[in-house]
Amino acid sequence: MVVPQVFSRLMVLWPVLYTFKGTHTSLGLPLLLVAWSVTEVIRYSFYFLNILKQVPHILTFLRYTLFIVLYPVGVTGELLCVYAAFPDAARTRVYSITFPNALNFSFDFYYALIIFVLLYIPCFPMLYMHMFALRHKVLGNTQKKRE
Amino acid sequence: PGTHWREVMEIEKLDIYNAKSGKFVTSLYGLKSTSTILDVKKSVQQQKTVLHPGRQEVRLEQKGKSLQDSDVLQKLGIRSDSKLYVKDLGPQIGWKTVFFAEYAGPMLLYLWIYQRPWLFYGDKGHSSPISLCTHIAAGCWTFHYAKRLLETQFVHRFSHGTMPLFNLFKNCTYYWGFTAYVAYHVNHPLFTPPSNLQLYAALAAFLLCEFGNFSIHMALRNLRPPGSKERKIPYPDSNPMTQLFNAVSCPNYTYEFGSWVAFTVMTQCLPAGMFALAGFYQMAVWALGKHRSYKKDFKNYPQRKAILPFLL
Repeated sequence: MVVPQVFSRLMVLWPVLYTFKGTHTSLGLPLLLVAWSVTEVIRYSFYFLNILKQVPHILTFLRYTLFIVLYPVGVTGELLCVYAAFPDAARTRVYSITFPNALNFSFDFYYALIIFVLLYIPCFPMLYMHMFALRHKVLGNTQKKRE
Repeated sequence: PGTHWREVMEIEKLDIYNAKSGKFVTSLYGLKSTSTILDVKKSVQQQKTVLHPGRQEVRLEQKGKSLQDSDVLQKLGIRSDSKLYVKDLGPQIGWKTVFFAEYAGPMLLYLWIYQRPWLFYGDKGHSSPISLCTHIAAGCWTFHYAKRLLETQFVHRFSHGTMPLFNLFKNCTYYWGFTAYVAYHVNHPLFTPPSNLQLYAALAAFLLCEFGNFSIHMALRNLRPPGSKERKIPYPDSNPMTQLFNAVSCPNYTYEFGSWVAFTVMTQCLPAGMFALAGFYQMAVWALGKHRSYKKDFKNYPQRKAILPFLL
């Protein structure tokens, strides 16, 4: 759950945003910045207060509710930024290894980006549904406790 | 058959619980002491039509072992008002279908890419002759998967008739994906073969390991006569390749890993190495589980490692 999220963020940040300045004018950039920032502020506040066992219910509620909007917004932002990098990636063939070489290995960064985008198709629904299940488990319980 | 001559008793009510949630599902009526677990499964299906027997796993305890279809209720100590747990194994698919998809697929896909189709290589596909190494690699790949298909048909004995449908997609993605990845590189017009010495030495190692793997499959087949449920510790037989049983619990996986290492050295191809490592990781997980299970079942289990002699 955490690994795909961290991996996708690192992919979008360094090989895409940092490498291709052309992506900075994409609509995706403000989208993902807002989504990531809001999520992280809430998430880390939650973790910190959790250590002290002082998490106010409103924070738990926000953590398990805002994702409903922030996840799709963030994913849209990420995909738009990567898409904006396609033309430059195809043209410059940066980060790629070509034939021939001693280890008969090749890596085409442009195709790696395409596969990365395609992976969102199975991964996003899985992670999104997982968050809903967590939400049901965590928020469902506190409601019962109140009753 | 096999039960005492006595009155067949009615089992008026049998309570079925969901193995995953522990919750009560339904009660079954009209079973007998001579009924089998398969009868129980059929009865469950009458109430929950989507659960055909192949999709059910019946247990005495919520997290207990699976019972066999042929087990008789009386022998299991089940009477009226007894509890049984049922697990839904999800949509199932026949294993023969799976193996065709998992083994025939990679074999044919590799042979297609071996032709250097335009889809993968564009116009430059035929810009250079195919090296001897590439020919031999195609032969080895085909041999490996053809052997697997034949073993599936004639050698292996399967404990379950079906497997979960999701596994089909997961396994096929793995097999087909890696096949395309390895095949693309080995059959590339700019592929650089290693020296002939390396090629032939690795080919010999590959064939030896394939034979070793086959020897272990035969030994395992002979370990349990058909129909018996007896579990036995595997030991070397007259085939010298089976001596590896003295060092590891799962020498079939050891030999398989050996084959793929040999294939990697034969082609000096990093993607092939990645495929070997991925396969090794999965087989190590299986071997460690099997090894643990042997040690649990047999107090006198000999000193062995799971998959790598002396190491793992």
